[in-house]
Amino acid sequence: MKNAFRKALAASLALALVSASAAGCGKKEAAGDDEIKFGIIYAHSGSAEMIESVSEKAALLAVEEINAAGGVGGKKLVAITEDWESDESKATEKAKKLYLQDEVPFILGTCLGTGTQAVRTVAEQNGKLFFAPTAGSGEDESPNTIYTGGTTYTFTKELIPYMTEKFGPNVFCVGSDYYYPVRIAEQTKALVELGGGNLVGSEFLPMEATDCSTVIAKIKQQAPDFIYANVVGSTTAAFYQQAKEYGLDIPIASVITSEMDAVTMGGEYSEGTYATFNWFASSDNPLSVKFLENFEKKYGREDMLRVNATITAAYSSVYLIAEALKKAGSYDVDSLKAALAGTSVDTPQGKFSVDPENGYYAENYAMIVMWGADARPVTVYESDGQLPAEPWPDILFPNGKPS
Amino acid sequence: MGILPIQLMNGLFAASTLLLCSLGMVIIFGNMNVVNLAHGEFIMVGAYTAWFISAVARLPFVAAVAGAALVAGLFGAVVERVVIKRFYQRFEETLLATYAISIIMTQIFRLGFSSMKKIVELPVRGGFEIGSMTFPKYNLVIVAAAATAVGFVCLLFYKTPFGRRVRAIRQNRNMAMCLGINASATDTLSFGLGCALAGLAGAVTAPVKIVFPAMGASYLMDSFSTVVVGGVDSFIGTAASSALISESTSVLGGFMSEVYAQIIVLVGIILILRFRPSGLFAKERR
Amino acid sequence: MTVNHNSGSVLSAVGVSAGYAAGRVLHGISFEVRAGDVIALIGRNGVGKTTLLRCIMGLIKPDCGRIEFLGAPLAGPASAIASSGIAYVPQGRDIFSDFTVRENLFMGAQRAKKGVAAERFDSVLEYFPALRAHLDRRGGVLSGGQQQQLAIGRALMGAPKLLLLDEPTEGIQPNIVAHISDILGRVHESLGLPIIIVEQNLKFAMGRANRFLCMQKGSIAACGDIGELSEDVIAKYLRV
Repeated sequence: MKNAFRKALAASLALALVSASAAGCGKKEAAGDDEIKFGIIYAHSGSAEMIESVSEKAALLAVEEINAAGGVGGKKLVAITEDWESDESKATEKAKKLYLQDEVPFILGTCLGTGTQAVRTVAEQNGKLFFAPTAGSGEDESPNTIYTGGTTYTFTKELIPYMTEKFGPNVFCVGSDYYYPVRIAEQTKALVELGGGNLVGSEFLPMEATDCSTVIAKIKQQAPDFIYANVVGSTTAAFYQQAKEYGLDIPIASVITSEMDAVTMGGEYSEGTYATFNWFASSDNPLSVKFLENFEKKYGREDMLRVNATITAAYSSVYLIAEALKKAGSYDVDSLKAALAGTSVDTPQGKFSVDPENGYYAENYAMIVMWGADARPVTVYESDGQLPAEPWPDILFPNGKPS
Repeated sequence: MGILPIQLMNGLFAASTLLLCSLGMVIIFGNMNVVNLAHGEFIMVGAYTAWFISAVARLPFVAAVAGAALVAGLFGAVVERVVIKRFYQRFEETLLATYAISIIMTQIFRLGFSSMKKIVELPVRGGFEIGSMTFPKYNLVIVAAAATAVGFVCLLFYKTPFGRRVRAIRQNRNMAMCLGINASATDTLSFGLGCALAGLAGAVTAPVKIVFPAMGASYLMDSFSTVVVGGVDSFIGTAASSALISESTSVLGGFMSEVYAQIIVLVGIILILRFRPSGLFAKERR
Repeated sequence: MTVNHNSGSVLSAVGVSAGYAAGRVLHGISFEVRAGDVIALIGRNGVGKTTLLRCIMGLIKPDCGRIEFLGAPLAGPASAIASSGIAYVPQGRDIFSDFTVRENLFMGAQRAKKGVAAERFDSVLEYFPALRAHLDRRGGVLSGGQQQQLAIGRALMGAPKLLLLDEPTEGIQPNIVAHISDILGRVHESLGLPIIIVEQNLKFAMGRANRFLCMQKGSIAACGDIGELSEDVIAKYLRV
């Protein structure tokens, strides 16, 4: 019995050891008067790690560049980085630590919705600011959170007419089964019908599903003009691969699939499919070209090839923040908030500004690309200038934001 | 062409994948009574080995499959020697130990290969046609692999001295030992064999799945429910339950949301186990 | 095989104490089995007879004391002890019920080459012709008497140098008991195989044994040639 207990104890200790080693430690740096410290929260393990670890690199690159150019009003930006391990309770804990213990006025970070929600709640409770460079479906806004990743509606609205004109008006929506793709499908339905087309089918796959044969059979039955595929995780590569192998000869577009997915699945399966968002590596914006060069120089080519809009948004956000800080002159929450409303800054993603109408969504351009055989994007469409963020699109919310 | 024949075929392919991924568990859970929460991680080891051999070392896919079975099997044998053998007949401790192993394995692969998803290229490309239906040719490879693997383990368990030793230990461990059977060596071999089958499954299915350190988690519950419905220690029962589960998921999924289809099948599994707790194909025991 | 009736030591136990987690059962047991012996191990229920056999077989480890078999210390797991030449027919027979009679028999011949095992199989069937008709039936469906024959046959398949029998007549019809007794007699005669029989059935035990060991509360209370098994001993250690 005693022996059994000892062994159970040993097993649980092994377990604890593993999770401790995975946890890592947050770096804490003392900030003097000539420094402006802020928090960065990204996941270094778990489901969000793949994208967020690269996002953190992008944000730190921007910090380094700004400091090298003399900082903000002579003060250096100091980032205190924390790892939330893709675990929302950890995200809450780390956000509290940064806001209350390190007393940072704002935090930048998170791509995965659960982490964003957690940090946002802490920011609201403590009257602090939170910059979330993550794509949103809209409809979630908070006076303390600035979404800088763009809302899907903005890009879906550009994509549907483009695809309709090119291939026809009948769309089939495929998504992973969670809030975000379900919302996109609703937006798509409204947009397609506006253009006289039909949403001929809408299917959602269980999260992490890798058998897409059933949904492919259903798509074949409906024979749409194009497919709007917004799947995530392991399903992405599985869907694109099986679409080819099952001989699904119908154009595919997505507002989720990015450089990171294309490079993972390889050009063979992504080739010829479309994607839309506010930035792709094919952007000819000189700031974008320079950003990718600097990124590759610092972190290597393999990471550079994965850089997508969300990762770039982390980089752009730091420049937006620096500009607002310059304008505010001080960095308490209120003056920073006031300064943000009209601030506009040139970034790899074009002019980046917080929409004064909607308050806290950054405005964006829209791009549509086609993936090439080398898994790199080729620009096929760009919007005429900046587009307003529409977190509460008229066609779904004719009376504006529900109260 | 209606959707039903397509879904029946898709169900067959899904059943082959499920069966391939469950066979190792029939041995380890069914015959050795070890609930191995690291089952999916051995599949992951197989998938990574296949990726390494085919994508990095650029060797033929057959070598990747053989290598994956070998690596996962040897690794399994070592794990049995070092950890599992200390916990036989102790249910809770086995759960804890195998859970720890699964986390350790995931972390090791995360540190060694990063979390970036890997793709194993399809060794057989393109589709084949039945009437107006197109299916990937590689699906035939999976069906053949599953059939071969079931045939192999059935022969091994029912026609060889090794198989009889394993079954004798399962029926009466002490008596088997009293007849001179080296039970602990047999345990190591059968645990290794179960892990080798998991590795084989990981390699064969790698080209249609995504390879990453946390991939194992998704296999565990599927394999577990399949094996339990199949009657725990029966290869043929597991083959039948794979077919039942996959065909019903596919056919239902053809006519409704796949998420609902999965829920209905899960409820069906619960009902089956409510009325036949030892599974559909459990042997009548005296 | 030659009949060997010299009096060399086959098994000797010196000061063996053993037990389970709940408490010690055997206290300093010492005895010897000589070539050609058939020893009746007798005593009331719960005095430790089965524990002693399990201890010899390596299913429980002695806390202290020493057991030697053919001049070498007995140690290791049951499989090693079985391989060294001790066969065990436990109480309740422990037939592999999912295996056929044929498979059960061959399970007994783990170390033998295929040809040797086949020869032994033929000779075991000569001892137990009743099994011949059931070779392809599952062991689990046999009657108690048939299972007992199968268990003894399975033990003989290993060509043992010592046979341990635990209650071979328990729950078996009297005519079969007589039959089993005959067969044991023939086996002993033709192979010169030393046997330890744990037995409640005194008539059966006395019919076959040349010596007896009588246990009381985990110790040997009396022993000697079977002729010395007096009414007094029986009254003192066996009658309830």
